[in-house]
Amino acid sequence: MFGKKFGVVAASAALVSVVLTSCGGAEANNGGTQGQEAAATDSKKSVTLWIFDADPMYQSAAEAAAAEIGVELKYEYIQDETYKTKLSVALAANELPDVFQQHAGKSYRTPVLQSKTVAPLNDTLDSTGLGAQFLDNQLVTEEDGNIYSVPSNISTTLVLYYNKKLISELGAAAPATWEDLQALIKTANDKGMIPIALGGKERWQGDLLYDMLVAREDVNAFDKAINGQAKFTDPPFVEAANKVVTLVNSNAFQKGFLGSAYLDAQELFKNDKAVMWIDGSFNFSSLSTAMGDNLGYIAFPKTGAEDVLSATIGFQNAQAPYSLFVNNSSANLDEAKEFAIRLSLKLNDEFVRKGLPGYAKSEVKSESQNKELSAYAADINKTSKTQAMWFGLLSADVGQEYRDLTQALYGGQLTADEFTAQLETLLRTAE
Amino acid sequence: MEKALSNKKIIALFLLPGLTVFLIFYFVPIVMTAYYSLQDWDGINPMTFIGLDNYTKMFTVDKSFWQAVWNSLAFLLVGVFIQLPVSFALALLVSRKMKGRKWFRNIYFFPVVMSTTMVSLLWVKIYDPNIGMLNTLMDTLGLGAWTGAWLGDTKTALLSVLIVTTWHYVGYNMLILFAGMQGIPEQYYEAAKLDGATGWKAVRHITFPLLSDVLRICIVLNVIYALKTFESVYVMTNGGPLNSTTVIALKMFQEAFLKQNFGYGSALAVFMVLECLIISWVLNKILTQEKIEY
Repeated sequence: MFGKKFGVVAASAALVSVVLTSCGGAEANNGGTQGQEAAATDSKKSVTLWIFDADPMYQSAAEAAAAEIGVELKYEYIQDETYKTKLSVALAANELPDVFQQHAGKSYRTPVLQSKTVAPLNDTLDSTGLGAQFLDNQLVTEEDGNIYSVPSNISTTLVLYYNKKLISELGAAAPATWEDLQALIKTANDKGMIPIALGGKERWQGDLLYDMLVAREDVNAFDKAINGQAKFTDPPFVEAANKVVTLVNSNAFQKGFLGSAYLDAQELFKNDKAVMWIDGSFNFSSLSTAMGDNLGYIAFPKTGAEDVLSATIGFQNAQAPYSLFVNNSSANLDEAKEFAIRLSLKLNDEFVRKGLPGYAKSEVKSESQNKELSAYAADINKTSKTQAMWFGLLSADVGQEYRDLTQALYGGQLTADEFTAQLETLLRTAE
Repeated sequence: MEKALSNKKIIALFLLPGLTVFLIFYFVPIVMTAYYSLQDWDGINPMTFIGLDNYTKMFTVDKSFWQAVWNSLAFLLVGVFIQLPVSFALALLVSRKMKGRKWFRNIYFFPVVMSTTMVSLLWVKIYDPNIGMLNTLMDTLGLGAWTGAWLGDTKTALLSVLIVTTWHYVGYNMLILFAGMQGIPEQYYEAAKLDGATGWKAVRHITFPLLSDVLRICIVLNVIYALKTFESVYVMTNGGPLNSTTVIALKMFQEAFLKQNFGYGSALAVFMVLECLIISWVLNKILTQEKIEY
């Protein structure tokens, strides 16, 4: 036991010391240590929480949950991309905070569970009676019969945001079809505007757009192919890849989009430089705050045979939702468990307040919302199938290879046929 | 006290704590990393011994490995053949007795005191093809046809990063070389002047030979820095687009922490350590020469 733990720490130290000396070192304090120090100096117990979601409701909900059980909260927001790295290092070195959020998807959830560093929550869910508040199937029971997490977000989906002011200047409307989208791209380019801002550096926005284009051809295409009933070289995949090529060739994305970071690309959209922005519905709050009534929303244009409300890409699936986990080495384990559960329920109240479908019972009433968010709430309730993003269904290494492959498609290194042939080879290994 | 310090056993005793710390925090992790490089391991589940498979994969299967090696070599070549000569020229300039030389010295050295992350983020903004200063400036100067996507184009991304690292560290080498130049007695130049050796001749026959030790140190430091480059690439391009700027250190990080291939990431770490050691040793052998005295 000692050997393995020491090995992980030693290997991480050797690797990290070479590459991360000035990237994350300053933030290397871990919650467990902080929690222990605080406990020693202060009789009030403390709980450290790591969150990657920028929405301020997370902090207010966490403060309320901490106040309810009388613990001191050490809240740490970490920017999303940094979070992924920081958490994977903390996981490998067993240096986790008391409670932490994790992204949706198998590639993120599996390592957490395999690390054996998280605590089962069954006892606290039962003893506090809070477990009964979660709706059916919203708490994931793992193979060993334990529940290791509680939800931290609802099932968000990929949507298309647009800038109402720029659309108006172009004398156009939000695109409803593939032809509309192409026409809008041409009009925007003619007027010197960026049609779609895309952060290609981190690659995930591009791969999600491809996922969406496939789903719009045939919403069951991925499931059939990954289960061996079809191939990734079948028409839906080729047609979607051809659409990506068409978008790239028609200069749909900003100049140098492959080198643009997600946040830099988002700034182009927020600052009236780009007409459209493809992103998760989880960004409604921050985009609304930045753009006010200038923010427009549509589910996504109809680009294939599927109707716009019959298929969309979601950021989680039932087995791997956005979650809160509790470190089983926490100095205040009982408090940390109860805090995580209460935080989950408070977040649910906030979603319900926004008119979105929650994952637990709530007495909160839906309040009047931003018109676009109300439209989204209505759409999501009518959506008949949500295909989980592919990356979230793949193992970490295959998922990263998939992102490399989609970047090669966007970069013009592969034709649609070459891309799908390589996709077939790569994803067949993940079958 | 003097008697105690002349006792080798006592000296060894004093050295022991430092040696222990060195072994635990430097040597042991390196040995452990070499051990993990022989395993198939995701950093979490039990590892499986696979012998040299990770190395076989590295040299024969992984195409982006060779791209990373080439890119690391590009950093090395630019560091030695561009950055160092520029640093030498700047050191010569700021060592001349002219008005404001201290000011120039500080200006050239200023980027070195800035963190690599900050410098990289700054240049990301400058290079931004849509709102960046560089393209705007070129447009203003009538060079619109020369504007580019810089970090977003496979043809220009590596060069763009190399320019930034050169700009960032040119002052560092300049300062070392400048310090070396200050150590050369003035009378050598005066004697040479009487023999008619001024300007470039004085540099060639006096400055160069007497600065050889300092130059060697600068070359070795540049080589090691170039082979370990990570931060600037990570921040500016994350190895993209399409692996055009990926380097060994970044690839090691991506394999270990993003793909959770700790075994393969460890193999890359071992390669990097050996690469640094071998190249530094060879350079030391090549560049070591008899000390020149006038």
